[in-house]
Amino acid sequence: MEHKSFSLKIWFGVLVVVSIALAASYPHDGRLLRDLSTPHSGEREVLPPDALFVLDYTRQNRVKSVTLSKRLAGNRFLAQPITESIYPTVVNDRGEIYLSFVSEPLPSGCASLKTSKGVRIAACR
Amino acid sequence: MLPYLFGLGALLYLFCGSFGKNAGVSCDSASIQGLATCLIFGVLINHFLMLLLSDLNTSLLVGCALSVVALTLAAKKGTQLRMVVCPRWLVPVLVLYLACVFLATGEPVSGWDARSIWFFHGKMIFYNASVDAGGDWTLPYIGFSHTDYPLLIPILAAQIASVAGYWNEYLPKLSLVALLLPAILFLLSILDRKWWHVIFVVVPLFFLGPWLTNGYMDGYLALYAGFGCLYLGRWLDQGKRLDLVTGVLAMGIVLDLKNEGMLYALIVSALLCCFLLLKRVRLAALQGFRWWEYLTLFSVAVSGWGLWARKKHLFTLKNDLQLGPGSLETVHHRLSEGALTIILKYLYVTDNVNLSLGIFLLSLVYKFQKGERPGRGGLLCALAAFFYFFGIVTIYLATPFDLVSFHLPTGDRTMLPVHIMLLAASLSVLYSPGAKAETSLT
Repeated sequence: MEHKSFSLKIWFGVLVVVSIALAASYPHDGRLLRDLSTPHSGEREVLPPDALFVLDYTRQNRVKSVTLSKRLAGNRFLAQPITESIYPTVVNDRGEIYLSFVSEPLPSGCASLKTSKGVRIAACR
Repeated sequence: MLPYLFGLGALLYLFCGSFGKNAGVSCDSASIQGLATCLIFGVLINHFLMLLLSDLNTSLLVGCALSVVALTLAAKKGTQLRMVVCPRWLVPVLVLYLACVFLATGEPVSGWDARSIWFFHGKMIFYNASVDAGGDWTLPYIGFSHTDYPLLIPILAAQIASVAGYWNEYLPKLSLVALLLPAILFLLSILDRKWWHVIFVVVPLFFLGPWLTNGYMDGYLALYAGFGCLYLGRWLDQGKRLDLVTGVLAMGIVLDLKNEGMLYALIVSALLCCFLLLKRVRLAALQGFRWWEYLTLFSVAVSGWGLWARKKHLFTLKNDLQLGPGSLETVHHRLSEGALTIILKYLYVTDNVNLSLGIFLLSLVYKFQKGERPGRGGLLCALAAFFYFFGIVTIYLATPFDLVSFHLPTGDRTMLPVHIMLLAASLSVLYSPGAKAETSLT
């Protein structure tokens, strides 16, 4: 009898947790399996547009390393999302491409490759 | 993931059979607690294997082999494991597991800590198929990512991505289920006593709410810190071996979650020693244990922390707070500036520590009104919360970063363990068998 009562309590607890889970995930209902099974899913939802721009470029061109301009490296709201999203492409001082703000002058020997609203991708000798 | 961790967890009952003795009659609250303990033991073994072998694929293969062997042996030998396996609960546990998957993976990894620390570290391990991340821990440009932080969840996230063969912003969050499911099972085991105790299931879940699903470790740190205190306190009161095992393993999880875990483990271990010494406990409850069982239990609990500490030393990874004797000057400077009042006011009032303290005091009043004395468990939890609170206050005083703009805004999550430990203290006070059972351990 005691065991039956405890089982009822367990079921009650399970129902509470399931209700919370359904309430929490209600707005995203139906997308769960697709989101879980798609490589790179979720990036568009969480990354700033400039970080996405850099990510797409590094992925398409199989870039292994990038260099950030001093100003860009100092902007943690952009430098950090870029650094963690483009991994395994790494950020170092002698990268294959050079990233800077559009408003910054390019160092000598660098040629612009692609530009988004805020960020420029350049190749440097 | 569930069978894998359960298989690894079965090693606990295979090698340390006497731990399961208190699981008692099958299909009761102790069985649920035993099942959750088995799962967190599996999580700790998996963490240990990965840090020991470094290679992601090798450690997964060894883990899978161990898991299959353990499950086969357990099924053949009919060990204590049977006491935690209740066929009647297969369906509710699977339903719970699916609910946990829904909760954990509903949103992509978006919070700063989650993206830039925990799941970034997981990504580094996944792409290098090694816990050494090809030496990338030392790259100067990822210094922002606190590369010295523990790797319990990053390792699980990398393993899940490795099995799937790809990385995205949802799937690695399945790693949270490895801690969420046992946590809910522990909470459900509390329901054994009275129906109204459902409040102790609902309140922590609502209280921690997004912290359990957003990929931050603070919610889990709080929950497992609470479980550690609760079960070790209950062991002091009632002497059940399973409570000691659960408490020690929960402490091991806390150690591997965040650096604050070291503060917690230090406080709880010191308090436990004091309680055992002051009460002149003859450790009657420990009789029947074999020395290798103790050794296994404590080794598994601290192994991940120890191995990661060694790797940190090899990679010369340092914590950005740089706490040490040099911090005394910062503390002195902050105290002279009146920072203590600001911190206390912020944490105690703005972050609602007063609320959880109020709940604890009310439970004490209720206990005294019934003419009973609260047990040692409640005191252990409350003291742990108190010392942890002042430990965090001291860290805030010693931090080299700006207090008001950088550290105080994080108070809402650094105070979560204090809330949950105080809630655990309230539960312990209400649970404790009263003055009659005071001498159960002596």
